[in-house]
Amino acid sequence: MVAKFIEMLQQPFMHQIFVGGVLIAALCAYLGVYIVMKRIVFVGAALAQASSAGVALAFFLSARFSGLRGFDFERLAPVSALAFTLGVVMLLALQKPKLVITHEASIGIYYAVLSAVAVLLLAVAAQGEADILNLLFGNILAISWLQVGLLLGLVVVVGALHACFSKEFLFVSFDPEMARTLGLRAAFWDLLLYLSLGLTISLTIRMAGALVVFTYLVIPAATALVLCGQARLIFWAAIIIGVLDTIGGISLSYILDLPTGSTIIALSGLTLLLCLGLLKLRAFLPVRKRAGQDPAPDPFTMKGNRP
Amino acid sequence: MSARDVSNPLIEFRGVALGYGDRMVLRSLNFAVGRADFLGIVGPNGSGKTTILRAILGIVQPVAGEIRFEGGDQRRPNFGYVPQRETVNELFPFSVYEIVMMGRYGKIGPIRRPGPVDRDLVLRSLAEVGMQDLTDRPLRSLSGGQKQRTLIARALASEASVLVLDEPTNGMDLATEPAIMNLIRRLHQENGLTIIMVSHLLNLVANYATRLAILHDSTMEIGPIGQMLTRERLERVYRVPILIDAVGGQRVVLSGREEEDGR
Repeated sequence: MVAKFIEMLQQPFMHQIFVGGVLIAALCAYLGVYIVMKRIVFVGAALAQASSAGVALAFFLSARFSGLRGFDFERLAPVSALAFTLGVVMLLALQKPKLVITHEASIGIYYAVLSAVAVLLLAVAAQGEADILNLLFGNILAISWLQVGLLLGLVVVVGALHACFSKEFLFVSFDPEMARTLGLRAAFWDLLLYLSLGLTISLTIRMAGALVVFTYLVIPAATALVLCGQARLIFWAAIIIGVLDTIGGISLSYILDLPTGSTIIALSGLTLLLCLGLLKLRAFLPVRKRAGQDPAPDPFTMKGNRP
Repeated sequence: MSARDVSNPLIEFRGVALGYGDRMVLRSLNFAVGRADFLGIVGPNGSGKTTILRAILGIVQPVAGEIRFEGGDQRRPNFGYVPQRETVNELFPFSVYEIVMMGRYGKIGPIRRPGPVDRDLVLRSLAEVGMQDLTDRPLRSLSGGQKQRTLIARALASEASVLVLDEPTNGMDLATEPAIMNLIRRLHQENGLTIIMVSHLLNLVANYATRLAILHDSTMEIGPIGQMLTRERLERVYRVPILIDAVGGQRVVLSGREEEDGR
């Protein structure tokens, strides 16, 4: 196994896979903290399916009109994926609350309908089944240095956006009504947050697949929430967990000759289970009072400690 | 400053109607809130108590009429909103300090980070509500009373002149409820804050507010607490027999069915 691991590291093509995979994992895991915190996990799934439907449309056009004036419609995949994703982002952001069809119901409808559209478009394309599998699980092994460059650009753009406006994004995610009361344009910041999410999903889904991207958006953040008791650490913990699961998943898939996307997903799930198990185990250990942390004081007087 | 100066209103409702879509919740609201007023808003379930707060805060727009503020629409008072603590997202383990700092975000503006002035205001707000020793604790690890104090501190950190509270003592025990209410009264009397408080607990509002607004049947009745707390009025609103008494200097409003009480 060690020999196989060393052999893997010596393969030049593995370097771009690792770098690309790590960038996708880090970015999606970071944004995933917002998804988990805002309890909008289904938004991640719906946007991933919207992006898939966009890619499927490009595949369908490519299959149906191949050779039309020498244009390969498959090249349109990134553009159509982005257009579909941003379209759903706008629809979700502009939907007025309290209508008969609630926000949650809309997300479910987009998810179901766009999933079906993607499958139907691919089913009538030439290599339907292969494309469906590719779209769901992606082919992280096919990442090129050009795509790594694109990912780096995406990390810079989304990173800069969030470095500048993290407090606004956090506030409107945590308590949108209070944010509005204090004069923050909650709808605008929500839209900007969703746009960064849509941009990330539409670009990464072609490289890693819908299921892998969805996994990155949910599991590392959920694992970080299990492990961390401090908000400022959760983003870093989610990034580290996502990156370690990716490196582990790619390595295991190479060594054991398993499908890469599925291995990353399974390892992410296993990491979460292990962390939950550790948390349960800790509950059986004797409680030690941490230095400087007293029990909560009496809520009536706010002085001294509760008996 | 008078305790109730509505001749120069801070907030004024003129023929306001409030609702969601086709459903009208409140009609023909005409009332004013003055500086250093302590207005309690009560009413049966579903009478529109929270809706009226949301309208004051600008979250819900009037279907008809207008809401005016002292100095015109562009100069809204600084509202410090204290939501029902059950509605606060506790999934994310923000510390008490981080939550109170959020009260400064509107003043700090985009891109900039909190400075020494903001940090000082946050610490002073925490001290004001007696939470200065729990700054690093996550909100979800606190008791109900401590959570409420944290949310009040966040409103204070925003340099609010009007404190808007939605059911501030909901689900609190006998000891915590008066502690929170005494804190609100102290902020009203010593800091001169205008208080607008919604509660379904008539007894609570009756002993702390200076004016009372009762919502029922899509309308509002408002006035000084002594004038509003009459047996006839409360029986008409709540449609049950009412007994108003005083115990230990506190107003007590009791309700019940005649056949059950044997009266």
